[in-house]
Amino acid sequence: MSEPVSTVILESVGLSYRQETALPWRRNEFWALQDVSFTLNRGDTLGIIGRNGAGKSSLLRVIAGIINPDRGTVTRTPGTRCTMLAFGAGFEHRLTGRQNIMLNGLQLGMDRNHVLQRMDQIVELTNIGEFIDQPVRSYSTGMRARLGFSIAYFIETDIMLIDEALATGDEAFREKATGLIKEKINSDQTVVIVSHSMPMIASTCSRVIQIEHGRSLPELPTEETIERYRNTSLIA
Amino acid sequence: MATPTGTTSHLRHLINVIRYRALSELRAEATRTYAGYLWWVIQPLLSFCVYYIAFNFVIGTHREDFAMFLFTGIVLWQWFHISVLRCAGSLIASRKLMQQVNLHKAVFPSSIILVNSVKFAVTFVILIGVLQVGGFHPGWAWATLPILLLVEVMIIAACGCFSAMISPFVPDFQHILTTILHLMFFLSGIIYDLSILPDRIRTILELNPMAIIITQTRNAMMYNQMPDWGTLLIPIAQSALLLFISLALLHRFDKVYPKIGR
Repeated sequence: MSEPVSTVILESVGLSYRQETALPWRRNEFWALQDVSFTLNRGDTLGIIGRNGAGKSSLLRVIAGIINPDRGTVTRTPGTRCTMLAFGAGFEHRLTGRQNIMLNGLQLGMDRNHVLQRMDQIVELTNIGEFIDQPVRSYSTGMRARLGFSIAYFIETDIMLIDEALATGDEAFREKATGLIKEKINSDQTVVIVSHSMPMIASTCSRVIQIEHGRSLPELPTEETIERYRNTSLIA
Repeated sequence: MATPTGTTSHLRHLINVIRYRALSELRAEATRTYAGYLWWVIQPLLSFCVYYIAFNFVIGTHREDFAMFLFTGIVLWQWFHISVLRCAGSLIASRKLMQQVNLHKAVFPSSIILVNSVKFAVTFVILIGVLQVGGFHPGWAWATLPILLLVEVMIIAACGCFSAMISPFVPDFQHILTTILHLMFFLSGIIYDLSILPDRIRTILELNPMAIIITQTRNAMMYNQMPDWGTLLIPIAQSALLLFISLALLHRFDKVYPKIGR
C-alpha cells in the first residue's frame, strides 16, 4: 500500500463564539472547540462522534473553510476542495424544484454547465415526478429532502463533509441515500461524516475521531473509539 | 473553495451565482403578491403621490414643472434608498445559508443591487414615457445618461456594500441607517432645486453624492443640460474609495460573518 497522502491537517484548533449579553458592551466568549488535532488523509472515511454540543458541527465548518479557527492552524493541500453537503441550503420556496436545482447547485459551488449537464440525472434521482416543476413550498418534508440530497449527490469535490444528513426523508429514501453515499465512499472519495448513528459509523468509516467538550480524544481503532464513546455517554 | 478553481473561473462562478440569485428573487417576488411585477411600477407612483400631495398642495411650490421635477428625483432616489436598505439586512438574512456553504459574502449585497437595478430599469422606462407626455423631449444631454446612471450604480454599490459589511457587527446599524437615509432624502435636492440655496450651504450639500447625481441626471433629462464633469468627480471618487474599503473588509471578515449571532 502507498503512503497516506494528507489533505487537511488540524493542529490544536480552537474556535470561540462571542455571545451577546444583556449589556451591549459586555460579551461572553464561548469556546465551541478547545483543542482539536488530527490529520485527514486522501481516501479516508472519517467519522466524527461526540455528544450534542461537543462541537461537531463547528468542526465541520472549520474543515470546510467556512469559518477560520481562532487558535491553532488548519493546513490544506493547495487546490483541495472541501464541500459541505448542505442539503437544501438556501432553497427559495416560491420557485420550482428545477429552478432550485440551479440555485442550490451554484451556491454549493457547482459550475453552471455542470448543473445543466446533470439536470436530467438530478431530476431522475429526486423521483418526485411532475412535482419537479411545482414550487418547493408545495413539497412535503420528504420531497424537499429528496431534492436537496439529489443536488448534493452530484457535487464533485475532493473532500465531502456530511452532517447528520442521511437522517432526512422517509425510510425508503434514507436507505437509498445511505447506499449511494456508501458507493461514493468506496470509490476512493475522501469523506468526513458527523453522525450519532454508531452502526452507520461502524459500517462506513475507516477512522473515527471522538470529540468531548471541544477536545479531540486520542485516536483509537474504530471499534475501540465507539466503545469508549458508549462508555463516556453512559457516565454522563 | 468552490468547485471551479483558478481566480478567473472563480470570479466567473461568483458572477453566475449573483445573476442566478437575482433572477430567483425577481421570479419569486412576482409570485408573492397578486399584482406581481405591477408593483415595480405602482411603488414609485405611490410615493410620488405622497410627496406631491405633501409638497404641492400642503406646503406649496412655485415651480410649474414640479410634478415632473419631483417624479424624476423620486425615481432616482428610490433606486438608491431601497437597494441600500436591503443590502444592510442581506448578510443577516443569509446567516443560515452562509453557515453551510462557502460563498463570498460580497455575493449577497451584489445580487440585491442587481435585483433593484432591474426594477429601476422598468421604472426608468416609465419615467421617460412620463417626461415625453410632459413635453421634456430627449436632447444631446441624454447621451450622457449611461454615464450618469453608472455613477449612481457606483454610489449604490459603495453604500450597499458598506451597509452589508457593517450591520452584522453593529446590530443597531439598520435603525441608524433609516434615520441617515431620511435625512439624506431631504438633503439631496429631490423636492427642491439645490441652486436656490446660498453658495455656502450648497457646497456643503454637494458632499452628499446623491445630491450631485440626482441634480445632474435631472438637469440632463429635463433641461437638456450637459453634466458638470468636474462636480461629478466628487461622487465618483467618494464611491470608489468607499467601495474599495467595503469590499476589502467584506473579504477580510469573510470567515468571521458565519460566526456572528448564531
